[in-house]
Amino acid sequence: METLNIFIKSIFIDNMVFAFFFGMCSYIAVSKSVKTALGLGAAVTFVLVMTVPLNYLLYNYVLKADALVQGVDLSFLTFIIFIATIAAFVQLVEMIVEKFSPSLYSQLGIFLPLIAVNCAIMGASLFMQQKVDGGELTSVWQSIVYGLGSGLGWWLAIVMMAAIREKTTYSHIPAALKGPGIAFIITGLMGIAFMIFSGIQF
Amino acid sequence: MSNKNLKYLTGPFSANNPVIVQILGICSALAVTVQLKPAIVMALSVTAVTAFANLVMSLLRNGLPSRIRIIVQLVVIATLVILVDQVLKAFVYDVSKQLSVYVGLIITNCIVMGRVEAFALGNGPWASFLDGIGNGLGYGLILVVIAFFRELFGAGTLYGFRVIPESWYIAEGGFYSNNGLMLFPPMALILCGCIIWVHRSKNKDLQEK
Amino acid sequence: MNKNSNLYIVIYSTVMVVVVATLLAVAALALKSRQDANILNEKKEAILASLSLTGQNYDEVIDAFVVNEKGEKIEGQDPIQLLFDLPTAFAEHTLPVFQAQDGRIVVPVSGVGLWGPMWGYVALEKDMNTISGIVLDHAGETPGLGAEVATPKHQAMYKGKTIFEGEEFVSVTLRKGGAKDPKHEVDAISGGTKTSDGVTAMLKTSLGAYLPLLKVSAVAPCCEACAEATECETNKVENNE
Repeated sequence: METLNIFIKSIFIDNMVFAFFFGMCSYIAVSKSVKTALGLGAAVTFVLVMTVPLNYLLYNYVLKADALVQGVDLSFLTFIIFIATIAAFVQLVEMIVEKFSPSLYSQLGIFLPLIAVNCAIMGASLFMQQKVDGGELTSVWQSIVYGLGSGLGWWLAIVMMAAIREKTTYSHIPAALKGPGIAFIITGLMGIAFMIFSGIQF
Repeated sequence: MSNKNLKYLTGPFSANNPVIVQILGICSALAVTVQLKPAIVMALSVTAVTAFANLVMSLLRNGLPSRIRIIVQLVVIATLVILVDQVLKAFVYDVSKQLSVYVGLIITNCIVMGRVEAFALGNGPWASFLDGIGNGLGYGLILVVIAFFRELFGAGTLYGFRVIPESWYIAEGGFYSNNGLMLFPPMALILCGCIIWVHRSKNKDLQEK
Repeated sequence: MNKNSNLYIVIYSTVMVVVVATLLAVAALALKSRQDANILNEKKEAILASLSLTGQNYDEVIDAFVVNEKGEKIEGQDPIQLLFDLPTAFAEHTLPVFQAQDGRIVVPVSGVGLWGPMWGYVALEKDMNTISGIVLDHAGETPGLGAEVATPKHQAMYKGKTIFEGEEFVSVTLRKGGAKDPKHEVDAISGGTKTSDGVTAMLKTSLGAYLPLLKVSAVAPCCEACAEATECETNKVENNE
């Protein structure tokens, strides 16, 4: 049940966007149409599911104090290793997709370079590290579930946002609020709505 | 300081503000605005990283192989962030605990990467350094404004000092109560939206058609 | 040399990696001792805070030792280091105790809340029954709800509660809807029922592990007014007669 809890919590309660503001830059920039939002959401979820467990293994068996060699603490290298893993992985996926599925590449490809600097990806890995230290995540399996949940939460948020923004085209928004201004306020209101999920447990 | 250099420094404060005009670097920022103290430390950390990342990349720009440009940028930025993180952990431990993972997220803060790409690779070290400081401070300005409102209305304190007297509170027989919602993440977004609203009402050229 | 030739890129990256690695290793080593001291200091501050002795020098006012499940002192363990992994410490019956100069003791407690681990420090008066102060902390309870256990407002309610009813160990319970028993209950967190239940269970099991020690070192309640420890001893003897 604990694993299910991690899953539910990472989608609804610790939602990447509403609770932690992760990935806000691409969230605001790419949420203008539902179609592109779906594409970016899928790409982010995929990269999260792969990089969180990868970084989990690296952190647990290489970087953590006493993990590699007794008495050696490499945890100060955490940031640089995490970002290198993410950048390398994104590059790899881009090359593979380009070679084997040009049609998928034309749909997804434009988002991939955006993802390496999407803070949701780095953020999930950093939270994973914190949860490992705090004893909340105890296995690779749970880290995969955490990555999947965080990704789905982000996906859900950006698609909902895009749907709302498509509708707001027909609204009379004050000139100064158009664009990012109203996007921030809508996100805030959605965040308040998501607060009803806090405290649920399975 | 020449006029041109001064413009690099002060431009990002308002007309070219990284947060509310360029919409960069919101990710790692809003969560540290519950109180002024972590917001100021975060602003200073980002300023230091942006300034030095710009400086280093500007110095390296002539010898830089273009094929590995992005990864070199990431390595330089990550190194600077680790240094900042280590210094914070050693000297202001309680603040570094409050900032938690957000220090690490300076690496993926689009301001740093964005300024290196857009400015440092095409300009001299001194101008790049000033541009970095300017953008860091412009970002910090927004953080401080948001943190000011959130701490004042959410907790009745500023920088940890009590501003609204205890005797005003209902528990003490007064009439006032803190707005707990201010402490929750959504209010940071709504406040940021309001700042953009005010800012664009004053600067009509930034408004979207 | 051509800037985009493979050789140039390899040399460039190698130099870069060496420079970065050296820089980071030097910085990490130079600052490590300060960082470790900070982490240790945080634990010490929490212990002092539970005793309301914040600002005092830990090494001067606290005498730390380790006991086993029978309440007997054991050697060879560092009490502070045990705090870093409390669940293991409880499982292995190596229980750290922190005694203040005035006879009060602080024992760590460890449990699970709604979302993750919780821990804390309970300071007991000399009678080993009355709670003199408490500090609670958590890894990830819901802000505004469960996370309220970590606020001074919630923790102030524990002061003066007793964990024994006569001879029987009853611990302190967080009661939903407001405390009914003024001696052994405090108000639960509204909206944080699971977290509150977690705190109740944590206090019961963790304090329960220290029962033998508490029984041995309890000073009779009549002695609370005594200024001198020696007088206490004589009073105790008289009581026994």
